[in-house]
Amino acid sequence: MPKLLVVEDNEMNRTMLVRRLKRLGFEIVEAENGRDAVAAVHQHRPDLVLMDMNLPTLDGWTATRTLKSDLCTAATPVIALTAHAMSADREHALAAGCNDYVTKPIDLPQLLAIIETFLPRKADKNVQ
Amino acid sequence: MRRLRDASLRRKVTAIVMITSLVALAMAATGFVVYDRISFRDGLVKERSLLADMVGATSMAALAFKDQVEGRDILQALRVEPHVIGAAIYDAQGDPFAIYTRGGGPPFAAPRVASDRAIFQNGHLLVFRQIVLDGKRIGTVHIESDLDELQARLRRYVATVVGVTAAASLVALLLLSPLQGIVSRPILDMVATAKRISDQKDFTVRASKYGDDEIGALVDAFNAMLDRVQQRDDEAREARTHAETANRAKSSFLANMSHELRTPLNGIIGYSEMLTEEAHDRGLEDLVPDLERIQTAGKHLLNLINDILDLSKIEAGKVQLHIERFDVLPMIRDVVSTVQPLAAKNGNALTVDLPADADRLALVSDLMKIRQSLWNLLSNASKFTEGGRVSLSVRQHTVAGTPWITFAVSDTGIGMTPEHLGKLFEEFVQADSSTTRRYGGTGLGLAISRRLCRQLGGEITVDSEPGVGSTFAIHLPCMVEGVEESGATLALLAPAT
Repeated sequence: MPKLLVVEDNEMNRTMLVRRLKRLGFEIVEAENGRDAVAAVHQHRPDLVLMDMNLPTLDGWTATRTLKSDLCTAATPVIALTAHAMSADREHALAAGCNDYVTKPIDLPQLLAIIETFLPRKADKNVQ
Repeated sequence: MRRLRDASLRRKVTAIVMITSLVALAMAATGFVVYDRISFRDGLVKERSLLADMVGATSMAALAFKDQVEGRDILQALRVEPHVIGAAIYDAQGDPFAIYTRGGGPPFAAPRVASDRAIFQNGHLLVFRQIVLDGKRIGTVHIESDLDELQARLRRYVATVVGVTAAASLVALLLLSPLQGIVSRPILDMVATAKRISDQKDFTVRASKYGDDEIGALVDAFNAMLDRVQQRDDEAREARTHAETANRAKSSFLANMSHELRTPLNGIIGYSEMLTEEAHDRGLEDLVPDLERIQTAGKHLLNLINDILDLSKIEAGKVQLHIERFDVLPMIRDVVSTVQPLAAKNGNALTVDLPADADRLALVSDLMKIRQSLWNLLSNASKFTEGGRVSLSVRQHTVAGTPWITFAVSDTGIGMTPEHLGKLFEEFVQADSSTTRRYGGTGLGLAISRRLCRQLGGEITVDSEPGVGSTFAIHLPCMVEGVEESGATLALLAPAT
């Protein structure tokens, strides 16, 4: 199964998202802030990153920019978890280099559809 | 007079001074002329009387001896006076004794003798002087002169007066241009000040004072008035700043509050969703409806909070436009598919009427904000219509040469009365208070949509009839002006490979 990095500082939101994704069979790595997230990407090489934008220590935009400017990690898709549609977070997220965004509260089917578009060869990986 | 009233101050001052000085000059000149004429005539009368007396004195002998030849010789001496046109000597009985006629003229007809007098008659001066010897009148001398000298003198005089007047006027005009500034400059300065204030709305400007006259008093009054206006302006500005600060604080509070409320709410919704999934997994199907109610209630509450957050953000001026080029058709499909379940729930048929070239229709605007507004109208129509029809029609047209697009959402729902229509776009106002209970919602949707549309340079209009239905229309310019198409963001929107 693909490995996902979930970056979210709010413990309840993180636990919730992690539990639901694990139930679906994803392998999950967690991070609480942007700095840990960048380190986790280097260490665990996840297939995709779900990144909250309002994070302590290093915010999601900066973390994404860091990842996207590093050749080793630039290819890893980053999905922004933003506040709802009207917020400027969405524009900032895309400008920072996020590949797509999902507004909170997360609609799981929608999130899965987006993950699907970035990990189309999920089946192939399973074979490996 | 009317022309003078509308003339510039400069001209007025010039005109007034010139007219006044010309009248004074003319009166003075007239006085001089009249005085000179009188004194000249007096002088002439004395001179001619004296001449007549002299003639009389020299002709006494001739009269005594009745020597007419001598008399004529005496009179011939008058040749030296070219203005004497004729003269006569009468004897004691009053009969002409000798007559003189100026050379070249018609023979002089001596008038009837008269006592001592001088008469001006037909432009001539007639002088009679008696010749008295030892207290006895022995004859009379009469001299008639023309007044050509007087006329010539008068002509010279008029010419001089005209010349002097012209010269004086010229000098007055030359003197006026610098001098009239004394009167006009303070006034013109004040006019310029007033104009600058009204143009630039700068109430700190003051008119400068040139002297302590009436205009000076006017300048003082004008400046005092400006002080008051400035004071009031400052107060108003302060009050406005105060109100704006308070409003921003309120909006900021609402935004923060909404944000804080959403976090626990996300937990409620998320955990109830997880529980629903668990319940399915463990075969506890009887719990599912209750869990779903928690979800629905949670999502409803979240929508309300989101609406309040949106409105407070718009009010706080925190909503930024994200202008991009996008196709209309995918947006419509997207919104319609989102609204479809809502319409179906109330048994409504949802139809879409697109123009023939819909697939080529593109806008340069804010996709999310248009989508949100459109969704608002469509979900309202679906909510307030039962077993009816909700239709969306898209139409392109031109307003003052620029392309516009209109999205019209019509329903066959409950409709509204004109009073309701008036309050429709106000915050927290629904057609009537029972609506909230029956249909839910915050009543913020239309207020938000209208603000969004206005931000995009457009407007929302409504047309409704109670019991028949309503038509809400979003009118937008196809290209939002004054905002550059954000190419950078466009590039980022393309899916990364």
